Amino acid sequence: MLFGARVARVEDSQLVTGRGTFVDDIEPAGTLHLALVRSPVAHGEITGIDLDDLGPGVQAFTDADLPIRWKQVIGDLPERTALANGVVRYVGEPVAAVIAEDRHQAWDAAADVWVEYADRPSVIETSAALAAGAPLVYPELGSNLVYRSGSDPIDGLFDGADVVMERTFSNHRIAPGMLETRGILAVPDEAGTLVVYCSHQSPHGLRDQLAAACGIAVDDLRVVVPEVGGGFGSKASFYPEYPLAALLALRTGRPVKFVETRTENLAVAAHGRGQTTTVTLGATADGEIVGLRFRTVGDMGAAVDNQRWCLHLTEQMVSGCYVIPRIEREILGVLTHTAPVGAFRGAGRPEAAFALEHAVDHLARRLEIDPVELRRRNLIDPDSFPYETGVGSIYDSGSYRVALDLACERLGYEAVRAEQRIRGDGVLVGVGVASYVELAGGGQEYGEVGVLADGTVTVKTGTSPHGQGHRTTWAQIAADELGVPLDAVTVIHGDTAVVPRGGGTSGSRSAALGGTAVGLAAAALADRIRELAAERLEADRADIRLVGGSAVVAGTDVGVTLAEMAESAGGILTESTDFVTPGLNYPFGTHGCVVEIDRTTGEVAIRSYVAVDDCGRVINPVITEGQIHGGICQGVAHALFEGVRHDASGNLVTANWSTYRIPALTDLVPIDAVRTETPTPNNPLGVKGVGEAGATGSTPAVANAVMDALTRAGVDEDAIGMPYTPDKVWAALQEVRE
Amino acid sequence: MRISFVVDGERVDADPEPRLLLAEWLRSTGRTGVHIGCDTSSCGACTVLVDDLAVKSCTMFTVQAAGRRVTTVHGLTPADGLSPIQQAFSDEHGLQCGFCTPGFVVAVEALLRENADPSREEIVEALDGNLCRCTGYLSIVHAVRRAARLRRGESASVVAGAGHETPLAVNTVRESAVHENLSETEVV
Repeated sequence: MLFGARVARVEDSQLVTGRGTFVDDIEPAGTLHLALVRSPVAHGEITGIDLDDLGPGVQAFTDADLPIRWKQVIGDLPERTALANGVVRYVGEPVAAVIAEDRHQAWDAAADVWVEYADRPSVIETSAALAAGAPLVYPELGSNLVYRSGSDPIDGLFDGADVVMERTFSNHRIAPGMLETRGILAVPDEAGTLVVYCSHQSPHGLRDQLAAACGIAVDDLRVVVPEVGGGFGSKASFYPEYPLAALLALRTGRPVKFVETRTENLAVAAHGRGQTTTVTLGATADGEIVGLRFRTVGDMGAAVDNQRWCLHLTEQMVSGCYVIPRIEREILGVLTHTAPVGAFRGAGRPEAAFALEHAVDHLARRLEIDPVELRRRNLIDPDSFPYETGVGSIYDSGSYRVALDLACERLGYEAVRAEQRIRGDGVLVGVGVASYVELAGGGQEYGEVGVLADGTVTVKTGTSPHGQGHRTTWAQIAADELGVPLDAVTVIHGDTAVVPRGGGTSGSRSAALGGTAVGLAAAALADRIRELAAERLEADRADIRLVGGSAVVAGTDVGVTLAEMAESAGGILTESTDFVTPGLNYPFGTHGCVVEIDRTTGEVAIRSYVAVDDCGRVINPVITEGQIHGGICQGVAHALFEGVRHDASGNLVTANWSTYRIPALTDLVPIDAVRTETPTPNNPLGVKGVGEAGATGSTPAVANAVMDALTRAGVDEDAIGMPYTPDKVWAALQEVRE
Repeated sequence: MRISFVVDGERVDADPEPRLLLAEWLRSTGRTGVHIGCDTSSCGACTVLVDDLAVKSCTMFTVQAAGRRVTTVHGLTPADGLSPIQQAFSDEHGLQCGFCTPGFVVAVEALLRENADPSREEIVEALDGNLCRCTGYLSIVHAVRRAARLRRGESASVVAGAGHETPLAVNTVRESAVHENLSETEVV
């Protein structure tokens, strides 16, 4: 069995040698380079623009020349435009497009375009955007509030509570920070098809969005996704540069390429999070939670991007791992004069988990109950699944108490508590845990498996990996079903001309949907092969075994190779399927960490970190561990130092990697990762999503550990929030001394 | 400005535009494993060897390489198969999207030429200028330790991440089973 084995990735040999092909590595002869003139103001009217004298061969365009429009996913909003239509609404918004023979010439020309703006008042924070008389992003809407979901007010929400605790937490914006920035290359071919190479998470989705925005028939577009240098949700968004490159290629009849700079990436590649949440928890004196009010205000930025879906997912997960009898919720999405906000790893679930898990620790302090014990008293019982929560989510399977107890055991939780009581030096020790549950894998996915006359196996998948290793894991699944070695299998993805449909890779969907589709298609093909072999070998179908690339009659040396069978069938034997999941799956776990805070510097160091995660059955543990480790690193950074910052005028302060810090090796987290295995009943493989779990459990675990240390030192609970940078921690500690 | 230098073992005469960065020139010659990830010499995806020193090739103009020996990931890749460093990155899952990996491979080459058996602290210090957004770095540290062993001729298991996972316990709650990944444990 290859399923479950620690198989090294087949992708690696290309990538470690530098032979992997990313978008910017493709450059057909005659390629024109696209650069954008971007708004330097958060809100303003364009009162003048001069596109003349930009140099030989340079062409420049405004919205009047390229009036590209597409719908925003909330109905009432005006259509989006690729280039600003008279008004700019965020710093970095494209105002004019420039194409030139080489990239430097395009950059130079874009810098030479003269634009005059009449500044208008702007709103950068959601709190200001909701205030009466606030400047409006779209005046025709009459408000910046564009999304509202939730429940009616609930009478007696906190009846029976001895304590009602309310806290507001900011979950600040973070940048995706994928190593490869966004890029697109549009190539008109001789057959009249526009071939679009793009560093993207969803080729079929991009094809359909491009077709709609550019007014091109879907059949005239082919989207190819080559190697993708990380996505983290941000490369699932639709951006103005994409239809601009496509239309300019059609207009000029030449290939047009756009690859953004890191500064552009930090400015406009969709940020994630950006939610401010007020959690109110009511509980009895012995720690039974009786009611929850969850109110979130999400920063949409200046247009509706995937934050709208993030807010929906946040709402689905507000009650976390707990039995909560009454839940009142209000989820708001608010426009601001900042770049549109999208999905970042977890896309709404980490936001819910952070707010709830941080609030549980605050409640524990109020009740003077140990936070681990408080969790134990409220966790959903393992015999309760499927469990329908107060917001209507139907959790498939779980064993939350096991994860919590195991995390505490490995962390040495009780020993740290004892150490805290006796430690007397200048180091503050804090311990925090977070029990999370998230959701994954809704919808459907395409899978196709074929045996060719040379005996090799081809898998086609609608998923679109960008580091997740589907070329290995899908091959493991198909090889098992067909009895062929791993290296006989080739996985094809990311080409709309070859794979008929697909949902791409995001939302931890790929294994449960795409992996299952491949497994079902491979099983159907294996069945067919057994049937054909039984006829051919005049044997009973039940006696046919698929081993070593052949179909053989059990207990004999009578057999036929898969190659021969494909040859007889006209060169190929293929089966395909569209797997539609009967329900979502809910990965869960508990993360815990111990921090040490230096009183003299405010520096937070992670002394130990335990992750107990459960993503059901595992196809390849090497890959799930990698996903967990990477997610933890990002979630820890979010808690401790990462963050997008704007000044009061909406200028991006964190506009390059000198000012926006992502984790480096010196930020290495000493992760002890273990997993439990609770299969989901919602797909035949029993697999759950894993890509976003690490980022979901880690941020609240770290935040809880930091606040545990700081509140023990007398810091007020409201004195400090994420990110816990040394300057803020030091300042909070100084206030205690004074 | 005309210059001569040695690139991946071959003597080259070139006439680059003075403002052209070495990273951009290398890419223009088809060495597309030299990746550009930032504008500020922060990420290290473009790391090359200049003589024996790891250098971010976006910090140099091409003309500054005159008379020097420049080695990219392509020059460090054997004609067949993988180098010990490349093999170790694959064995330890030290890459996911792989965009940062060529820069790491070159930076590790520079480290191991100077220090055949680096400690964890020395690895962290030497590679702190290379950013990876996918792995969380622990697997990269393991990969460097493994690469050092392979270069010293010591054997290393060929199973991916071998020794990381051993069964911990099976719990009795429904179908849950517990597996352990001793991520912090050294691989032998």
